[in-house]
Amino acid sequence: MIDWRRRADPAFYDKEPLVLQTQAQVPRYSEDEQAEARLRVLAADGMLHNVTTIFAVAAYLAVTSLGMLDPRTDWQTLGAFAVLAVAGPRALPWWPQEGARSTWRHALLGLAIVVVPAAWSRVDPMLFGVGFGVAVALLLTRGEIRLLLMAAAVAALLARALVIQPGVTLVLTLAFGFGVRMMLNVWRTQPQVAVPVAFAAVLLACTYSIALHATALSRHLALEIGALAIAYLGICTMAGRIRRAELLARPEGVLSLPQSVVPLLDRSHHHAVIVWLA
Amino acid sequence: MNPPTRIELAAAPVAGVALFAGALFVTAIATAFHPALRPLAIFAIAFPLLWVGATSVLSVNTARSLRIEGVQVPTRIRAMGSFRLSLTLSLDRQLFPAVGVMTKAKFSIGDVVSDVGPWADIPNLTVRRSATSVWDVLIKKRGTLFVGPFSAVVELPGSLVRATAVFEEAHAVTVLPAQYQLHPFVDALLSGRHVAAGRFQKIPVATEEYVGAREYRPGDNPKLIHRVLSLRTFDPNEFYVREFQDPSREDLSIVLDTAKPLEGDEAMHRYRLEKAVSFVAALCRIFAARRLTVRFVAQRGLRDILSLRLHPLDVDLDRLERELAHIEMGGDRSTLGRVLIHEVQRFGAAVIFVSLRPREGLEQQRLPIVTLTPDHVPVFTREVVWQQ
Repeated sequence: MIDWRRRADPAFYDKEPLVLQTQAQVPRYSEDEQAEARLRVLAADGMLHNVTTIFAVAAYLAVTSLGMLDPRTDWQTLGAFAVLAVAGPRALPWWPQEGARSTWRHALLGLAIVVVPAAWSRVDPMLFGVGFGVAVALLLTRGEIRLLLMAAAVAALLARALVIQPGVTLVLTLAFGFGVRMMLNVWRTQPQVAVPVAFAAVLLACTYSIALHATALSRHLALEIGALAIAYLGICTMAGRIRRAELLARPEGVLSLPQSVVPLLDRSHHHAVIVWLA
Repeated sequence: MNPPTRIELAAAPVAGVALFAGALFVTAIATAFHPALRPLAIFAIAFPLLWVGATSVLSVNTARSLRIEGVQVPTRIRAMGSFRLSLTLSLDRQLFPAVGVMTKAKFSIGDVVSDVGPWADIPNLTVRRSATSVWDVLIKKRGTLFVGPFSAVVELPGSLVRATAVFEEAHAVTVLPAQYQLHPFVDALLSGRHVAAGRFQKIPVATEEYVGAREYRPGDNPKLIHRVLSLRTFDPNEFYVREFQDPSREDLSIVLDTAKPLEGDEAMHRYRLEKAVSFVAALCRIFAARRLTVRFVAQRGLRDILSLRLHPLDVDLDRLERELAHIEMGGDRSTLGRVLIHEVQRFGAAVIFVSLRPREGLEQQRLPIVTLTPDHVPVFTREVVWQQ
């Protein structure tokens, strides 16, 4: 019998020792890989990016009183909020990579949100000065320099507030820093955390304006509430798109855990149970 | 329709909730000093508060309203085979549809537990309608696979809680030995053994019945040569013999070795047992197809000998496979030796011993049995090549 087997399949006797030594690697869908997949879905979501831009512009209009701030006295506030409104969304982790030419678009957007809302009430050379300043700053910065620009904008806001209301500013600063740090820690695994953080950012910006520019804000309350509503709806839409990305980026292939050594009759892998979506 | 056994709530990151609450508080304080801006402040505070509150409450209520309408799972499956699992959910007593429900099932067999998904999603589940999640499951381990409990997660966008409806119901699936493709060498196992070496009786007795004719093999009694058939052949050296069979007696005894070999490591032993179990199941099916009655013997544990008489009936073979699904390496050498001697001493049955040891033992060499070592049992012929 053994001779017969040897004649029929000479390689047979060499096979068995290899069976237990050979195993293919089954792709595991780890948390990191899932976060990367989710990030790819978010980066490819054009609607999310448009909504984020709309949210930022609407929030800017709400907190700057639709251009009613005086550019001669409140130029820091106007400029800083404009920089944050344009550069902030583009610094989000899921914003797609943009080329060098995109800084032109950012600069034009910065100039537009400073000048256009205020142009219907006043035409002030200083307004154009602030607008061009924002545009030039956005045009010349990219990558990490852009982050420094945003930090400078925040510092400008805080510096002014510290002089006027040191207590509130200190609380706002701590809350802002806490929020940014928390967002950086957990956004990969729990991207929905962006929703309370976005709500908190708008609320803190509103608080800043209420505290420092109450007179300007009280002129067009209805319009400001409208702009704020658009910003909030933008956040709700962003939450929906992030949830959609979570659903789309879940493991769609194999997921076989735990990886346990069980007696196998094939040499492909050592998984006892393998489940995948039909 | 089964309601969820319990609802598990997982809150959003505490830091996120704290930041949100802190921002609300600061805004409220700042507004207190500017009564003219109260409408703006009320809207700024109320909108996110209502949104987050409504989505959180709705998530929990939706999870509570989910019902299991049915679970489709087979009662038995072969190892290395796959089956389709479907879970049908419906929504009861709820005004709003359930959006983005994610479902998963827990799989456990022996000490192997898989409770991490994958998650199947139900994009939109309207009230009093049902939707089905479907998975494909490939199982490679023999035994009893438990499918369940099932979980359905509801987390509406903006919700601060993730509500999981847990349905504590489990469905048992018997995982039978793998389907084995036998090579033609199985034919040779019975060459001459049926009437010669493994069979002491050379001529039929009165209770035996004529069952057919076959080619002469060395060891066959010349008195059984079928003269008419042999004369009809063109080759003068080719003969046919008549075969007789007693319907009340086993033709074959198959003994499965479940005693742990001394050499090799644990993984090798278990691998060889898997191979032997699948091989034995296939062997019994082959013999049943040839209308042979088989007696299967294996040791399940200490003083626990499994002995099955398998007629060429599907019901007997099913019973054998159910037993083989749970058999483990629980035998010992001394009991195995006694079992082999007992089987050899049985009247007239040929004995096939499927061994886990790489070489035939001395005690087995003295017995008129066919010993199949792991080298005889070929590797499994189907290889699952995973799609990367």
